[in-house]
Amino acid sequence: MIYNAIEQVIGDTPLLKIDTAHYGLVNTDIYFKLEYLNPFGSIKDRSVLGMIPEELWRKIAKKQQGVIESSSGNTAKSLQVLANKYGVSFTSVTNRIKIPEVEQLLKYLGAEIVSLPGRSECSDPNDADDAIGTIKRMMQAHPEYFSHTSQYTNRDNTHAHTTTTAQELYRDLEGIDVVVTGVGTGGSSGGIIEYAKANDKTTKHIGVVAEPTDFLPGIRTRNELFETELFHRDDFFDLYEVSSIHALTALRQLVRSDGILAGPTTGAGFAAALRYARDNDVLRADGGRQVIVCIACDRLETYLSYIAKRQPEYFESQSKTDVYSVVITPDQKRVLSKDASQKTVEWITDAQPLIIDTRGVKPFTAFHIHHSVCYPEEMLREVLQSETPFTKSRPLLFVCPTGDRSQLLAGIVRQRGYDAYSLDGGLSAWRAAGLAFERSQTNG
Amino acid sequence: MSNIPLLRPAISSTIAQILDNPSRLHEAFATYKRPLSISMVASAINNVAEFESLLHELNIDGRVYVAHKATSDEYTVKSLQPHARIDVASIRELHSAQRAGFTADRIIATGPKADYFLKALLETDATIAIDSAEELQRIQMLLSRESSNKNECSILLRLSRSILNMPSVTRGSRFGLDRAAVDTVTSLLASNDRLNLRGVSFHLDTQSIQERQYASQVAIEELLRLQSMGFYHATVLDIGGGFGTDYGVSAGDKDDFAISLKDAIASNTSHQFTWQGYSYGMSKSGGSSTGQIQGIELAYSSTGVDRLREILLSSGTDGMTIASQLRDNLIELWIEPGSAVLSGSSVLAMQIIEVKNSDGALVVVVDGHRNQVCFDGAEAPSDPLLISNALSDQCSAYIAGHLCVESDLLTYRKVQFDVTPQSGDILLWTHTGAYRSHFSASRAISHPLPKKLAYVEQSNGGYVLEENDNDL
Repeated sequence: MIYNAIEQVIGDTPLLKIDTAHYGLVNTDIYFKLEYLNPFGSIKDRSVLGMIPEELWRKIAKKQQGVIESSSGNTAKSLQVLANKYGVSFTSVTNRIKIPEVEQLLKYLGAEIVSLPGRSECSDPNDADDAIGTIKRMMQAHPEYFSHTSQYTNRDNTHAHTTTTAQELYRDLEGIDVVVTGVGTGGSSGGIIEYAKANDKTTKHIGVVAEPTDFLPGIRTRNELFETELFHRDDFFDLYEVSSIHALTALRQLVRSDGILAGPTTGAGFAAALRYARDNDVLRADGGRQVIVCIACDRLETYLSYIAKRQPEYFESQSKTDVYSVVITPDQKRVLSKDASQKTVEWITDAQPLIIDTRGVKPFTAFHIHHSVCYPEEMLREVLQSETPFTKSRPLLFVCPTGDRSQLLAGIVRQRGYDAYSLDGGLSAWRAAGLAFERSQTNG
Repeated sequence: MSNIPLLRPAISSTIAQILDNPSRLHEAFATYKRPLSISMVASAINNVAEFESLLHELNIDGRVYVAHKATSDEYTVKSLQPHARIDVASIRELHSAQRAGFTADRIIATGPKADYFLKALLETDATIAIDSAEELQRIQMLLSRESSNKNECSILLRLSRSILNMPSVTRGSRFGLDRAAVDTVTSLLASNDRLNLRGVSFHLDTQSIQERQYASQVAIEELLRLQSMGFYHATVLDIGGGFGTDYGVSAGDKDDFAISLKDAIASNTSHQFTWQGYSYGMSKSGGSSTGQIQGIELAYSSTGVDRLREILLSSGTDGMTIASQLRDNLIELWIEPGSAVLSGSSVLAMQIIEVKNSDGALVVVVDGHRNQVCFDGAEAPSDPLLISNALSDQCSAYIAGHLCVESDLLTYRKVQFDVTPQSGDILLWTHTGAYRSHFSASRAISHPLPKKLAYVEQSNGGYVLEENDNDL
């Protein structure tokens, strides 16, 4: 199909039915609305299109206004892309963006980011306001300039989901028993609920929030729900609290079993859906299978560092342990040890060892032992899996900050028949012994 | 309203011991006739050990300087002496540290310093974290005037927020050296060999871990820049304190409190559980509440050692963690924890004068006041523990102090009690060891300061409260 504008690609996303037998469900089907296939990567593309349609963008551009919003994620991304398209500047005010990749992407797209500092430890009357307060002050300081989309209170946010997301869901599925939505602004969940109410649907709505003090990007904790005017507790059948680790466990299953490459919030929704389904895995009164709909809100890729922090086990290289798992006996340690002393300095002068500094490039550049070379440990570790890229014609002296890594490396290399040594106590001991470094010099 | 949110603190075995055997407290009240501040130093010593074991685990060369400013209790300072170093911020704290046996190489001085304080520091070999270019000029002046043979002074440069801020954060600070001051100071230092630049420091007043991570990265780069200018002894990064403390109140309870408060404000019912509808800084807007909760300490996402771990294991430049940058560049890490070490190291006991009805609300009046349990205007997010023999019904009440001002409420929120307190009962406030009962306690209306006692465990399992009258 041919489109003439990127906005036209927003919406009408596929609805994917997954194989629930795989998750031990007998009488329940689960469908995923693949919102991450929206052009800018999330369900927020719909909200933004709803809040600022084309004619409004043109009006803002004509008046040379800027758009301002409190968002640290998908809304900001969509707003920025469209702001670029219409030549409007966009400012995102946030309580600090917690996902580095999201921040990088926003910067790349050209967003102006205003971060609120953390709350003071001690009471400070000058303490930073919340994001909305800050936006209000910025708007007062530049009257007439900013156009605030206000996604937490803007009914057009809700409306966008009533008229598109919900309408598509109920078009594709005759009966929906449960819709599970993450509660962020309350816009998408509210929109779907409004549609269901207006059309006399009996669907139950389950809202998903993060556990207290936990963090799930894009959704709130129970306590934070008060900050969004679009959220109405009474509309929900129940609110499920999900921890980030449960969300990520569910997400990994979805990714690997069903090919849904969505973000952590989708995992949270799926975890909640499974929790509900496992307690209620019965046929409908009419004998049909139960239908649960989850929203796959955004894409996986921007959350890798978030996931790596919580599930580091999936990111470690498989072979790493092999090369480091050698045992170095006390005898071997004695043989390869060189202490930080004048005697070792003399040995260096006589034996001309290749001195291998295992620190990173930057610290090496700042200072190092004269005539040493830089070979960062991670690279060395990787290379040593398959090769030993040194000469046997000269002794090798490994140095590291404290002498522990160099001992290991020298031990490994020595076991392969090289004349390898390690500087005892490392560069710290070298410095403490008053021995010289070669240093980079600047004039400040 | 029976639905008063509970903020019950964790009860250590020491506190349990006091709750189970309160007769010592009653005796002490009869003797001293004022609130009792009881030190329990074992927890502080243990906290220092935890910080050190983290540094050891991460293979970081580090030093723990406990912030003296958090406590005015010399007994605690003395007890910490074999286990930690110390950060002093006044001449009296310096003297207290010296009396406790801290040698000068284990003392750092921070904060604004008058000439007499600087002079006393120069007579020792304590490290001085300077806060301004002007302070360094005063040090130079004092050094040139002094005839003493102490002719060298180790200093750290405290960097200001304007250098350390993340690019998108604009908040300023009145502390530390800005870029121009750093330039002034480095040229002064380059031409004065009596001043030994040991490194850089900062302390950010923020609960944000991310801001500290970013500041640590910038400070490391600043340190390397100083080294490349020829300041080879500049090998210390001091990231200050701010690791925070945990009262042991569960995350769910803290959340319930915030939800109840926001709910009450949104529905105009806050007068049912806050004093005269006190809003804790929130306001009603449309059908919901807006603003941020003020006037009560907020929950940190992580505290103490966990917080330091998060900072050190975060990635900075080139994906290298702060910890590995410290190791690779042979940088010593100094930290100055206050509440993270000391918070749990004392409790404050107050006697109840009377329990009265006031315009339909129950008010517990205590023989003590707000500034003995609140730090800088902020209530602690934890309930006091009631020690009572009463067999009456549960109740909820506000807690008011013995001062003559309307604002002397120890909690502006109702506290739920299992029995109705009565005159002569005791309220025990936990986690008062850092700042809370030390920083702003006053002698208003000639009420004496709380009596300092030390909790000493007996071999038979009981305890005694030892006289410990050594207010600074």
